[in-house]
Amino acid sequence: MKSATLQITTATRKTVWFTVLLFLLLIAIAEWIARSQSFQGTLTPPRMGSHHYQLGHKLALLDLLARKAGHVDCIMLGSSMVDTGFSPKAFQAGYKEITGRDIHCFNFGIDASSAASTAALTRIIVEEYHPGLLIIGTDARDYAVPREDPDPAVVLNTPWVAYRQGNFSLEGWLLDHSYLYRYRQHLGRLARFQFEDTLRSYTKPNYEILPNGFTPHNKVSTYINDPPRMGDTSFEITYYTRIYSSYQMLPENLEGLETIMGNNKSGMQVILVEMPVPDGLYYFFGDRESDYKRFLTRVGELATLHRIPFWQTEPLDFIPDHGWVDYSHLNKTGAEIFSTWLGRQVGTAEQRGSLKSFQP
Amino acid sequence: MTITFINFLMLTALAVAVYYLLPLRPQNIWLLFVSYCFIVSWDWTFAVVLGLITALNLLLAPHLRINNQGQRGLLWLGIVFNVLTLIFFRAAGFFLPELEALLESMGLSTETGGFQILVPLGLSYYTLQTISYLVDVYRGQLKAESDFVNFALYLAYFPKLLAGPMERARAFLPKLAQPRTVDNRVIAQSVMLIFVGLVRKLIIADTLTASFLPDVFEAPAKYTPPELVVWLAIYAFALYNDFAGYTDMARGISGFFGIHLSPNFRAPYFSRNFTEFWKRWHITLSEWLRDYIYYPISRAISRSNSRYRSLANLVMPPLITMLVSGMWHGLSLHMFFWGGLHGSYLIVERIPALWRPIVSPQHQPLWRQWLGMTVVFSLMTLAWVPFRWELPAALQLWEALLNWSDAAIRYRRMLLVLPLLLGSLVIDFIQHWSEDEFIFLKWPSLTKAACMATVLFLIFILTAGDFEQPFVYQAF
Repeated sequence: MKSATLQITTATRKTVWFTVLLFLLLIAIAEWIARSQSFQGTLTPPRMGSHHYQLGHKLALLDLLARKAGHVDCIMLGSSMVDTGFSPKAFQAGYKEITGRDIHCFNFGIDASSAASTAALTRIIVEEYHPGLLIIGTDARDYAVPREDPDPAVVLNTPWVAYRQGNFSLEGWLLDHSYLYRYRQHLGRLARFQFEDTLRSYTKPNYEILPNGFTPHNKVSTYINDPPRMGDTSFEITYYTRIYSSYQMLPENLEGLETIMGNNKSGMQVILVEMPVPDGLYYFFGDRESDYKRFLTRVGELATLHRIPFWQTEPLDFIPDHGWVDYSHLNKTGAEIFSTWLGRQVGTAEQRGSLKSFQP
Repeated sequence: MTITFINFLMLTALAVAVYYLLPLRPQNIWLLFVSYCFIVSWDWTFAVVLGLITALNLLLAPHLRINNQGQRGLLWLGIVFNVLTLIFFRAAGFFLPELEALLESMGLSTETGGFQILVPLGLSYYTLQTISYLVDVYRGQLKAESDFVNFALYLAYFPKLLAGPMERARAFLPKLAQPRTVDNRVIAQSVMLIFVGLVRKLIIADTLTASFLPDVFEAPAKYTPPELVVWLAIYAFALYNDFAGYTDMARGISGFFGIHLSPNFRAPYFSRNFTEFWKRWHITLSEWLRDYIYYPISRAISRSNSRYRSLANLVMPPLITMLVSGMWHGLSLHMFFWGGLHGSYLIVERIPALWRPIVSPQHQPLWRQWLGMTVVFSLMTLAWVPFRWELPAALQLWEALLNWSDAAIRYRRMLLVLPLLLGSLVIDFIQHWSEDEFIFLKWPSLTKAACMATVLFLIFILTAGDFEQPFVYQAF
């Protein structure tokens, strides 16, 4: 239908085309700059469109390690218990003690991750970095947190993470393919006078993450073997009470664990290790230790089914009382003890031939 | 949904696409429908209020002039109704919480969960438009509109609803009655206005606003005089670009419907005296105040036989006009003070007119013009203090400005925004000196394209920082 109001010709086409071409040229130049190491070294790592303060930062650190070392041999994934409890440096030393070989490891523990969200991240990490050894640090909480809970949801709903799981979105695609788009939020903030100090506060609110992904804590807690005090409304107490008092292992999380274990078939060695917990944690469970044992049994069954080693730390009791930050997190001392033990375990198992060799 | 939101752009794109397919009458119905959808997207009650005001004014207007005689009583009834509506909604925010607190202190539970009456969207703008419509009909300058759609559209037309321009019925209604044409020239002008508006709002105003530290507004006395001077200059330019940017975008969007909206700004910070400033700042409001407040008062004084006629005419019209302007911006003491201050500026500026003829600024020597610009900008910036700050904080700020014992600029990051102030002046300078707001269209294609591509790129980056600022004048 011919419009009586609209009476245009194509005379202004030239300006429109020039604008589009110049805009694309500017985008291309900016993309080229955003991909350069000098640019990336100047700015705080991008957040990949995520509201999770650690995700983007750890990805950037892992990328940097992979670029520097040429490859990453082993990556440990899990929740904050892995983040604060796995020291790649101590692990590498423990491994070298047994095998005499140097390896490069990275801690990809993400605060508040569940087995479902760890599975999503594992898929991305494996696709990007092909590590020979994948260690999953697991704990009872990983299976109790529903997918909709804000903590795992913040990872799972990140458009980029969702995109990499096969759920297409334009933003996910842009984040995956464009460094400029990844840094766009930072640049936007910089232009609005939120300088590096502000940007850093978004990514590193309290603690410094080391280049190998480990977040060491120096705090020493003394209460970890005692029951929680009645009426204590601190976040730690209310959170664990909410998660553990009527403990359930949710199907989506067990499915997540099985997905992770599926990587073992692709030539990669997957190891499942129970993150150490102090005795005091049992007080939060409705059925105390029997609930906790239920978690160990179920995970053990799945590991056997997938022929994956599942190393339990609960009977070993090797973390001293001064090795804890709180009811579930290891401090730096505890992390070093645990990681050295784990490194030796891996080295020994590899030498015995019970693990696939993961050397590049 | 505000004008820079993506869903507003989508609404506009849909509105434009359907609009071009329709003949004249359905075009107006469609625009009215879209405008009310836009209002409902904020709050459905806003649509009800506007609908009632539209209906009452439409019904009243034909009775304002019978047998070529204006009906003064009915006119006052209409004016009082419109003004009271405005005052009711404006004042509700102040007195209703107080009333609730009073009732509760008397032990009477109000059980309202807190009285809350939102000021309907664009109320301040369309109330003045209805008043000017009634006055024009009363004076016989305009025939009462009999077409509900056209009159309702005049008040509700969505590109200008939020913050003007404040169109006069006698100019706007004829545009609705005749076929519109959107050709290459109109499209180019509209696109240019939208681009200039985006630069002003998203690049200049929002960045300037973001540069403010929160305590500037809470405890301005913490800053040294040079820092306060820079903050005030930043505020002056942020406010100007925010409002001018809105107006440009509104006019650009309206251009796509073939409906021309009036310009609202003409390089106001190049004004050489305050009379000129008000001819360049919020022009449609200033002209409304001139025609419906200033001139009637001036004429009334001139008609009287008072000995002090000249003095009264010097003082009363500007003072009352600016006080009304202050109250229109907000029923608060600091806005009243702001209006009074501007009224005083105008009075002082006219004192020499008592004994010598006024020389227009363009006939003054160049140095006088530059001096005038500097003085006007400085005094006008000082007047923005009670416009933005509550009176106690404003007084604190003025006091702090006088104490130059510490003249250091400690917060140096604030200086980074100064190029944006320059950018704003450059845009004004180019448009002002060429006396053609569409001068950019005369640039070579490649230059235009480079500018537009750069603007698009900057917007792509700047809109990613979780930073969104509502338009300042939307609040009035």
